[in-house]
Amino acid sequence: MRASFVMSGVGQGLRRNVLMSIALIMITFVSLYFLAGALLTQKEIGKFRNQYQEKLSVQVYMCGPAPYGQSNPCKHPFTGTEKLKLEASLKADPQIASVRFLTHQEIYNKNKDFLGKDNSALLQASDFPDEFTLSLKDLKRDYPQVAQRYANAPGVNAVQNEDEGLKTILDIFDKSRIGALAFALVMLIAAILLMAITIQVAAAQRRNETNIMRLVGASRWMTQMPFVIEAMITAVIGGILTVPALWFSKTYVLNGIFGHSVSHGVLPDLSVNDVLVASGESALIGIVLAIVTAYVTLRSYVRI
Amino acid sequence: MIRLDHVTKVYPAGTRPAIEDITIDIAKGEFVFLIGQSGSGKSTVLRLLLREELASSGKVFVDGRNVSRLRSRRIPELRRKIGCVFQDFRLLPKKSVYDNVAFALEVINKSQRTIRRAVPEVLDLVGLDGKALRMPNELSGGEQQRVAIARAFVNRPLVLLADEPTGNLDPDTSQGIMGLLERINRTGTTVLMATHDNNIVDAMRRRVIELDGGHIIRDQSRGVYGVGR
Repeated sequence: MRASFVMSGVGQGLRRNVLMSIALIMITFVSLYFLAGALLTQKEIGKFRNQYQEKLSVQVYMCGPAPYGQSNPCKHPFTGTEKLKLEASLKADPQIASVRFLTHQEIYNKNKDFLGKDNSALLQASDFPDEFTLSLKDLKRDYPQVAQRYANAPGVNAVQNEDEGLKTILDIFDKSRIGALAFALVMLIAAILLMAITIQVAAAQRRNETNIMRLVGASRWMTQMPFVIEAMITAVIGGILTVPALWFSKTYVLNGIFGHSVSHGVLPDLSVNDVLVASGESALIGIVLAIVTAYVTLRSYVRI
Repeated sequence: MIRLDHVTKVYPAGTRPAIEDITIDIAKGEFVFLIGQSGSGKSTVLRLLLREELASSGKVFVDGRNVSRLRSRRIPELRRKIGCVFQDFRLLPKKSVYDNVAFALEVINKSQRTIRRAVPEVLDLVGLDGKALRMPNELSGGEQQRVAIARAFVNRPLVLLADEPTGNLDPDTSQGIMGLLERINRTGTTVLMATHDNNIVDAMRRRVIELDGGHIIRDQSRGVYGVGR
């Protein structure tokens, strides 16, 4: 098959329907952009999980100074004896891998870095309780038992799993991802319908040409090839446009809004490679959908 | 070369068969006129031969192959053996004479070498040498039909089907087109021409098959248009 002949037909087709081609490229771009956004969020969630999975620990918060509310199990600040007894129990516990005691000052210093200058100014060291930080041998399996065992120990205010805090952030990411996916799905359906209509219009415009092709014995593949390539080109251009758009969004949203958390390593950063992979994956999905749409539309619309 | 064996065609929306129990046998190299009033079934016969339509019953053979039983991916092969000419020429308005003819070879993957040799040759045959670069709108009706014939014949088909090829042309131009079809026929190509043009049929004195209401009412060698009806 002569590529130059096919490509000249493709060029003519795109020029003939230039406005519709532009509309198609734009809607394909937006839908692929949201799809790539969802894929990128998925990557961020994965990185986030990986980053914290190994570090996840259990906090045993000790009773601090009064006042104590009704719901507070503490009646007085923890005593040295209570601390020593608890520490001995924790270290002897076969489900606990390591035990570390942190004073409220140490915790404040640690969080000061994460919170940044403005936020940390609102807090004082005394706002944080002293705590034991435990790492469990199997967090998922053993946490409920460990939590239950030490929650009511003397001098203990509460036992908390860091995973619960992370879940909130992961939930936000997950919901954004599902939102982006749902939006991408709607846009993709719109893109597919627009593509089908564009192909029908193009096929109607070129009916004379395709009829002649049929009558002189061109194969179905030869007759349909220009339309399929046109749809593919549209998807490829839409896919290429997602790269800078996604990079811009990543820079604006992740590095702009969550910049401090990213720079302090609380949230993992996404690289150019991540953006390229997510764009590539969504473009690939777009191209496959374009080919399938073109093929199905032509099969039902162009006679052989 | 062409055989219709007890062929009936009923269109889905039709109240009566377009053609009914028709049997035609056309030998290689014959020149046959298919005549009859509008709606008599002439175009249906041509469409069946091209596998544009499937027979409701009976068998349709072209070059020994049962057209009705061809798989759809084999249809292009059949059509490469058949050239088609229509009343309305069906040229591509934005392509030159040369490109219109070359188009028929390009879409069946012929090499550039073959195209460069075959197109000027066929344009010479149809009397359009020197007009290769003209656009269709710069040509007369007769010249446009010559381009259409060149396009139909450039791949040297075994059969040439012509559906009212002189329908839009004046008598003198029509005579020229008929002369051209005769020349093509002399190369061994079987020509089946559906027409209303009694002058042409009478002048040529070739085999005439007359259809009426989907039935053959006359099949006469060296026939004329009006006799025997």
